[in-house]
Amino acid sequence: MYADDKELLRQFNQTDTKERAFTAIIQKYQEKLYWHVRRLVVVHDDANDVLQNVFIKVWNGLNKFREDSHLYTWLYRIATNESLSFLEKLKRNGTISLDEEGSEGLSNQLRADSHFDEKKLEWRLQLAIQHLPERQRLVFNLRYYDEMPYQDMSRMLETSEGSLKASYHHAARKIEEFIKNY
Amino acid sequence: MKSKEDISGELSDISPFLAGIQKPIPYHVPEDYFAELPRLILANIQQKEKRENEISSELAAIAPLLNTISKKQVQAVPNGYFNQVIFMPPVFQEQKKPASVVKLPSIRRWLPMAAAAVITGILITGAFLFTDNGDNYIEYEKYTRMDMPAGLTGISEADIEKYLNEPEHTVFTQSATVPVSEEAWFDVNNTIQLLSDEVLSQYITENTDPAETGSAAKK
Repeated sequence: MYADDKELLRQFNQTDTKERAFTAIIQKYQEKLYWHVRRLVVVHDDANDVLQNVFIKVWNGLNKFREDSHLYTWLYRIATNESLSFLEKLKRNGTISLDEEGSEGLSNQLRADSHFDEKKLEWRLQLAIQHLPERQRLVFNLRYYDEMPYQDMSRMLETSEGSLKASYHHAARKIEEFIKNY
Repeated sequence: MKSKEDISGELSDISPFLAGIQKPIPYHVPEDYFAELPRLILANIQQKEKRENEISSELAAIAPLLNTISKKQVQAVPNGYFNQVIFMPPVFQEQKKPASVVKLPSIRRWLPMAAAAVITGILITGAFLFTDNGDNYIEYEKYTRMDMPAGLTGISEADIEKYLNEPEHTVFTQSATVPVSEEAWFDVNNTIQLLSDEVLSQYITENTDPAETGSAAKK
């Protein structure tokens, strides 16, 4: 059982318990954050690099964190920004061929996975998600997999709840259509 | 977070198909990845801090004032600069090595000159053979096939005698004997008669081929 976020933050701000508290924070959120990042960047090695950068930023910035928002939304915001910045870098340096939304390049990376099997529904679902525009992909992942409330998502992405609901609605319809026509 | 039931219900309204399928993520993660991750991240952070401390300590020893000034960049870049510029890795072109100078062996230097000499020789010989009219060439074969008696019937005896008496019309062949005049024969006979038998015997001994003597003896 993990300690409550407020208690972890208190321990982090004390020198003698800082590392222990930070380790506990990593252990508590690493899997959720990893899968959030992995669904965006697709490849494990890239997700690992991004996640390590996320926690280094958390280490450097956690003492300035204001407790008027949830710790997990703050962590998700950092992870999202790091993932999107990473994808931007891929677009700029041409490491992978990415179109405007990055859909084609990410789909190709998905197909390159050694376990990829397009006959399986879960892989087709991933392909469908990668074909979404970036914003819809992000909203769909946060709602469908992370089951994040629109209120938290709105704070995290600085977007209205109505806009997020519309994005989720469009994304779900597109995914259904993609899978049925695949 | 919102309850699972509410989120599932929302999805059922939007896409019953999507709400009905399982959510497993097919991606794979290395074994023990999450067990090792906290230690790896802390090790990275400590290494980074150690490096920063070293740089800070070095600067404190050299110029302590610089450690008190913020490192924030004061210059600005145009909005969206880093999103527009495509940074391509430099392409290193393989430098072409200059061709090495190879010293030709002496035969390679003389070869063109020899070839030129041969060609010149062929040209000169060809020109000589082409321009040669063959005045001194006698076709012996042609004469052997000629019907001489038939050819001579239309010519008078006097013309033949006159032709034969002209020395420039004498045709010499390899098998032809050299004509010897009667005066010359008379002189030789007289000379031999004047020679003693001893002298003649000595001459014969000195000018006789031993092989001939042998073969004669066998006969």
